[in-house]
Amino acid sequence: MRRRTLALTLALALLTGVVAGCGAQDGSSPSAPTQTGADENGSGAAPQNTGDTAAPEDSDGGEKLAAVQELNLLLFDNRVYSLDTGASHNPFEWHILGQTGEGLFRVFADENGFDVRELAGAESYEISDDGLTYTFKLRDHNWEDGAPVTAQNYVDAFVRVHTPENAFTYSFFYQDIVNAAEALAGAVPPTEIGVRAVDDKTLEIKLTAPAPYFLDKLTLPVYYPVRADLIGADTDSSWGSSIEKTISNGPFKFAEWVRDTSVTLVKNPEYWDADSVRLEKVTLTVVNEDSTRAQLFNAGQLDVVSGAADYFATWKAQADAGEIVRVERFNGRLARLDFPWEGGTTGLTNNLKIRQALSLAIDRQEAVDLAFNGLQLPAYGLYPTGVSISGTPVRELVSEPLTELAAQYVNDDAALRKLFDDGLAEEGFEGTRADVTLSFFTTDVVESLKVLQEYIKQTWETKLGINVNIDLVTDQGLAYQKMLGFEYDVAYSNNISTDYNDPYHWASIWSSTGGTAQYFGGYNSPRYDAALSSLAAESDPAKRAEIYAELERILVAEDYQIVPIYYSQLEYFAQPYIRNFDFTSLVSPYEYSRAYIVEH
Amino acid sequence: MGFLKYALRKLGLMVVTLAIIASATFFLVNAVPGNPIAARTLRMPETVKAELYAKYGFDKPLWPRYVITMRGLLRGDFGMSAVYEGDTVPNIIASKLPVSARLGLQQMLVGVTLGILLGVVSALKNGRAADFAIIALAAFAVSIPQLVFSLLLQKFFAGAKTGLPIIGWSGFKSTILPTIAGAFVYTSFYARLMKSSILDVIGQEYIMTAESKGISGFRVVTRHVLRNAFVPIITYLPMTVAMCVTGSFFVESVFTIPGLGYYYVKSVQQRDLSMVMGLTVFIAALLLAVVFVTDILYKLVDPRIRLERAGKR
Repeated sequence: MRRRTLALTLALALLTGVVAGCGAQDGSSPSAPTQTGADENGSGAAPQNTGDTAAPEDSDGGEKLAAVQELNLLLFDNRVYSLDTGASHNPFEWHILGQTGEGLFRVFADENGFDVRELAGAESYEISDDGLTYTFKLRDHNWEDGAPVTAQNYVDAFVRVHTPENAFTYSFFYQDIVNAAEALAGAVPPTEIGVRAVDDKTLEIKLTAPAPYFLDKLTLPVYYPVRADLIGADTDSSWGSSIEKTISNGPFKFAEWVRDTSVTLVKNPEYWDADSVRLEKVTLTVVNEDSTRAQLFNAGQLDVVSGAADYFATWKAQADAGEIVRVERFNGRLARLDFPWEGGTTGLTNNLKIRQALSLAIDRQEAVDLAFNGLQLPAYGLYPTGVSISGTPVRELVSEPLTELAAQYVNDDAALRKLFDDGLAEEGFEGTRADVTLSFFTTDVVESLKVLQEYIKQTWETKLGINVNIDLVTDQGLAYQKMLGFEYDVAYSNNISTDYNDPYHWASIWSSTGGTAQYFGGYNSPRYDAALSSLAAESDPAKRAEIYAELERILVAEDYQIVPIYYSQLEYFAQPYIRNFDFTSLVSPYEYSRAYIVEH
Repeated sequence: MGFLKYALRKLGLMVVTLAIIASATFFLVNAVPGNPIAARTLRMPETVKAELYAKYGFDKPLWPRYVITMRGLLRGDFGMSAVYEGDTVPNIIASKLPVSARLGLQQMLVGVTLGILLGVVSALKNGRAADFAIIALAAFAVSIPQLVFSLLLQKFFAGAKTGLPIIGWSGFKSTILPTIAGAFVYTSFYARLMKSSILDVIGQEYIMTAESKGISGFRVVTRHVLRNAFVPIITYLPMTVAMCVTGSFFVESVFTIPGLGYYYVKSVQQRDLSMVMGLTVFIAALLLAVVFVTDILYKLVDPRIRLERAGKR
């Protein structure tokens, strides 16, 4: 009995975890056809306080506002650990903190689902010609208690993040800033970092090298202004552990937080753009079971639902009939396979030709059709859909390096086998392909991913005539041990989300000195590192795109270090009476500060 | 005097048991590789990583950590959650135990009462259709997984038709389905216990005596059978109370109830060592305290134990 309970529990937790993990990443606006507010101000333009004058009782686009402006959403379980912006480290926390806080920028979604950065806490900014000094003019706005938001509040936040004793997960994130790395290493006091308050309303940030993606990094709530007068000591880790120990300067403020259960937000009347905020209350609730989610959604007690795949067919039909809204969008994630660069269970996948054969054997379209009913996008490169270079979607500038090669090899078993055989010969393997058994490491128990992994295994077994063992490890601790010890020949991985809207985030993961590559196979290529560091001197978007293309080609189509499988897309269903609800994709899953509900 | 010595010995035993439980939990949890913060250190600079490990004590070897943990437990300091920034065991118990306790007690009240009633009926109708029906029902109730039962209740009895909330924990109405969801486990256990106990009592000579004295069947049952048959029930009840207040994972999970059971299982999954330690020790202490009190009361109440002692002297 106990064992069954444990197994069920584990399965349940992983399921909700993974589903939630996918569930919150992406999207678009369910109200795309009638969307009015979110994009009006355009990218980068400062939205004026008077820009949206519609009072709550006004009609918008010919529709009457509902009397009750309350939104009910899912709170993704297992993920909201702290309401402290500095300590926050996942999209589920950022989603909430992004609604209760206000940084220099806010992110909305455009009609195609791409993230759009807008000025928010900052009224304007200037970047020096050398690209090293960023000066932000802050908007006149207040905290929920009426105190003004000052540049010093931002400085305090940056200092907190760079105080090593605080050990914040995302402390690594702003190392572009002067002395940030040194402060974290304990070489200089955190107050020495290159962030200062020129005056109450002017914030200056100095970088060590030009970083064209730096503004995009400022969409993450980690650096959001804090009130040092309320926090007390920098190392007080109980800040953010309850709603009493946090304070809002954003569109909403906290009304209640029941750990593991629900978060309730109410409109913050002190917010500078409170006129644009029409929702009075937003309740986010943990719902673990798919059937419960479905029941709540069907009863109108949940306004947006995801992660209840069994019900999708019914909902799709309802959406086709116009009763509800279906949203399908990318979410800035890449599902891929990693190879150990050195070591591994058999060591065979250290061989380039073997990696190449394994990568090119997979029919990605067939795989996603089979496992996800075609929802996911087949991937032939590194940068997920949704990522942009200076505002231009990356795929308009950089084409995927594997597309043609994959088409050429995918049905040519003889060529694939030859590649594999040549690889075996190079490795001095005694025996034939039939004697090869590769260990395929995975941590996923979600049904669709099992189908995918089984498909890949069978593909390799059929096309290459080798044996593949799926090594399923569901315990996170054990999984990390395996990852770090390279105890696999090939590993399935979908564990990175995009932290900021620039391909640099993805390219830098495989840098040999970044500290992350060791988790994903320990890639170590001087050529790749050199190309990556050449980016530092380059601020021209076209030139940057070229370097990004080169990096992607080296990693995916020359070294075959990773096997891209698909770019994640997610499916949401939303009630038909919600407007201006943005599914942002990269940092936070939702943005609803301008959302409202029409009469229904 | 003999009694005090007995109580002290029991108390001592309880402390030793608790220490063993705490140690076993510590080593078991630590025997599993990995820790709750590994995932967060992925991109951390080395110094920050070291600070983080130091913050939660993972920088030290096992034995010093064991000493620190045990010393902390003695002082009532359970340490800080490594997952929920700034959370402590007393915080969690204070916020979550009352919820689980209320749910558990309601479930128990309904379940045990029903169980006793069914047990009586079943014993009195022993071997007849009603008896078989009740025993079959009890077997069914105990074998249906709580997760499934909760979901079924939710699907068919929550919503607009009945006015019962689908999820949540506010007001009496929201407690009805979760109470039913967890009640039948007690029902089947207590029904069977009650039945066998009554049958046992009915076979005793003093019942035959009572019957032969011409006391009416009803009076025999109420005055002689039930009173005596309740003894095992009363023995089991305190333990049931202690167990039920600590919550139920599945019911709390399905109905989104902010209880201890759900949190406890999650903290194990997340390898939140200090919380697992703290909660385990707390729950163990609660159970041991109940056992202790039961033992003492039992000794005070049960004349046979006293007589035995007196006889020995």
